[in-house]
Amino acid sequence: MSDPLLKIEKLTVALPSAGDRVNAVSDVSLTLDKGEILCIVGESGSGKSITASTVMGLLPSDQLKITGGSVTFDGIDLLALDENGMRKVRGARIGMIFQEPMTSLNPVMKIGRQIEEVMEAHGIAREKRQARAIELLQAVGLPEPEAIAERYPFRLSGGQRQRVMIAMALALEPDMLIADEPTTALDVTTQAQILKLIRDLQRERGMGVLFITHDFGVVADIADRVAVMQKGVVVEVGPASEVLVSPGHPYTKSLIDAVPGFREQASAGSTEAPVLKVSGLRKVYRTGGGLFAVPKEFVAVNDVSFSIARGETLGLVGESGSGKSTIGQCVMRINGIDGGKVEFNGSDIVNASGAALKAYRAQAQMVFQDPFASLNPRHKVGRSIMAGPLAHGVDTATARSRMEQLLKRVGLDASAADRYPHEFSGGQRQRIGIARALAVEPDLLVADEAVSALDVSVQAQVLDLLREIRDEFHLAMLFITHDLRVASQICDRVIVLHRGRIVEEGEVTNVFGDPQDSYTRNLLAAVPGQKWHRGEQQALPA
Amino acid sequence: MSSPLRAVLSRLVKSVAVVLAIVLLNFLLIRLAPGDPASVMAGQAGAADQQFMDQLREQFGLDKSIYEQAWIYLKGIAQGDLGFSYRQNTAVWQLIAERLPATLLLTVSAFIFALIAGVVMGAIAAMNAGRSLDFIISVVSLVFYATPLFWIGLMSILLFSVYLGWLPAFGMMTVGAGYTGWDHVLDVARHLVLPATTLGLFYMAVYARMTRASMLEVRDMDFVRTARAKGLKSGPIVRRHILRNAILPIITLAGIQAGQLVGGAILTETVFGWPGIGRLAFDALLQRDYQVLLGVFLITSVMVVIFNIITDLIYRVVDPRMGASA
Repeated sequence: MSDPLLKIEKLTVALPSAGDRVNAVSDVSLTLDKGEILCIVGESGSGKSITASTVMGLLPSDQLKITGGSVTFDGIDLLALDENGMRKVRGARIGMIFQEPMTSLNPVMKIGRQIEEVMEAHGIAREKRQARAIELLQAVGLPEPEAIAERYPFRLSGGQRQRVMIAMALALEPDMLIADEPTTALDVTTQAQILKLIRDLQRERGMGVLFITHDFGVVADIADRVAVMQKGVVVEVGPASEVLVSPGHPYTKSLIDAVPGFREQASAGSTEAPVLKVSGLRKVYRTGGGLFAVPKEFVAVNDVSFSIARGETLGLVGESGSGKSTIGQCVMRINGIDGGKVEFNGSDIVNASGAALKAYRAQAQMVFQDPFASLNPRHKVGRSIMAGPLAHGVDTATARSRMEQLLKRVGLDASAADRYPHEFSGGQRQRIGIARALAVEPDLLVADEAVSALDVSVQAQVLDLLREIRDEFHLAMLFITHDLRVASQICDRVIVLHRGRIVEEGEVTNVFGDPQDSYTRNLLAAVPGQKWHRGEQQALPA
Repeated sequence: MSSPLRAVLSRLVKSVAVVLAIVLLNFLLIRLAPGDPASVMAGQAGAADQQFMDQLREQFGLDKSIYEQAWIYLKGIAQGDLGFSYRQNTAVWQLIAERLPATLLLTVSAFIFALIAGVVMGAIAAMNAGRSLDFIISVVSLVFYATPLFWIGLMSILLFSVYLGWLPAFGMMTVGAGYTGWDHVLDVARHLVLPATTLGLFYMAVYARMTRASMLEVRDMDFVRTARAKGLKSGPIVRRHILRNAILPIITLAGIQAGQLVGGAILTETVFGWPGIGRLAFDALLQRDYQVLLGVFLITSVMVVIFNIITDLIYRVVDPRMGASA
């Protein structure tokens, strides 16, 4: 057999001395053949992105040093190349796309120009560039490529921008494409389209693709081979069909077990009277406007009604822009509303003020998406948790003892109270966020994408914790998520939202098991790794 | 109506309101200070008896109520009449028109110098962050930032005019030389160098610091990584991607400061004997020459407003996202 397209041998990259381990990546050996998709899968901090950046020569050299090993691409020793030599490989022979399509394009340069720049950098004649850019935009499935080429990135959606990134990466027909979590920031239906596009282009052009992801569903859909990384080490490599179906390494096994699947057994549900009742909710956002301009209106939520009882979890699912977070904010009274009613324990919340509003603030609490941004970095954790009860007139001693109990309850040591948020991992911070929400003894918990930023194994633990505290504290929970698998795991009932309207609602196993609306069906069909979830992915004969 | 045109129009209407409010506020504030032109003039004339002062007050309209005076003044402004300086026996508009070109020449030169030198220095510092060149630029800008303008002015006069004799220290042109044409231009330019750099150095320091910080921030952004992944050389990456985006906050800042430069030239004009608006205001203040002072305030606030509108328009061109959201 001929030499592989890419050969990484015993690659070691050192972390700065302050890091929690010596090497970001140690002794990593991988190969990628022409026309093959290799997925590197792992949790945050596993070294998968650093491995990809090393191949591309994009490591921040002041922080990360390559201390050993080699990277050979098509017979070229990449690590031996100087900056100019590496520059000629980048973009021309190896293309790369990134996780955040919203920020990966220069905001003040037209799309067409950004694509032409690749060709300009590698000496393609000016006359040919423009036509080729249009051709590429067409090839990645963008409508009206001529018009798109003249637009600035902010006019394009996330999916469209990722297509532009792909067009840019493929401009010079590279032999290899590195895709670093290219679909993580996208909606599930967009993700499915981009995955298909990458696979189609890869087959058409016979490229080798190094695909970095944390999502085993994506791996199942796209990978020929899989390498699993943990803490900078490759723990398992093999054909996708083998690794996914019968993982050899215990870490791979634990990761796969943590992937949420669709629940088949219906939950008991709650028979109590509803605590939260929302009817005919409408929210309109107005932008612009002024002396001579009419404001633009965007109906974010339109005629949405639901109720939640204690001990019950209601899921709000939908893609970005579906209005699910807005509903959460209206319920919490972070946002005002433009129509309808929000009632809590029978009393109106929308017009509540003074003491009534203050009482509601204690009864309804929120857990946020980003555990890094939602705790004050300059307050010790104990202070953050106690702030709520103290504001509601609880005395310090009671607040403190409750804070300590809660820390223990969410699985942290009581000593955590005297530390600052940055000393904790993402999962631990989310536990702190939950303890903070529980401190005022609420009846209603609104969790907005509360597990979306977490690694899959941590996600499973936090979901367990949320379920336990809901039962223990007898809470009503409004669970907002874009991830249907997560919703299926934790919710009793679910509402599917599309452009601010409810398209389907019901018991979660019914909605996901037998969807009635075509939008719900599309959403479900787009969830990656379906065949694998259903156990239809067979191990290839050895 | 097209969106940029509508934006400009809306800005103009708001600006007129802002300028009117400033004029009224200034008018009332000035009257809070003790003394009036009549008492100063009477004092200087050595005839501070009540009858003479009353006469003066009646002549200047100072005997009317303050609101009445304000109303008369505003009516005048609306008709393009900035009032009359009884001290100098000239229409205020004429006084300002005589001085404004000199001030504009000084401040615009200083501004352009500050902007170009500041951005270039900041960019060099950012691209050499942590190295000695960065350190030198940072120290130099900090020195100019921290040193009072008049001190820099005096020291540069000492060095370049007194000791080295390279440049003239005072005024806008060589008195009595009677230069014409090209010689005149060169003469004014030579006189301009010291005051313009003195005034510009402080702002240069600000722009250098801002540009450096802004570029370091942009340097770590995702699209710069994309640019590197495309195989671009470092020149285009710095120019088209880093600097092009880093310049946006500088434009906002420059717009705010461009307006202030007109008013901020008072010290520089005084130190270098530059015959501009600043000195006119300074003298008017000492003499309680209200009408002149108010006229200067009006002109500077109009300048601020004009520069803000220009900044807005430039911003719409350099940042395509702006036009869409408004």
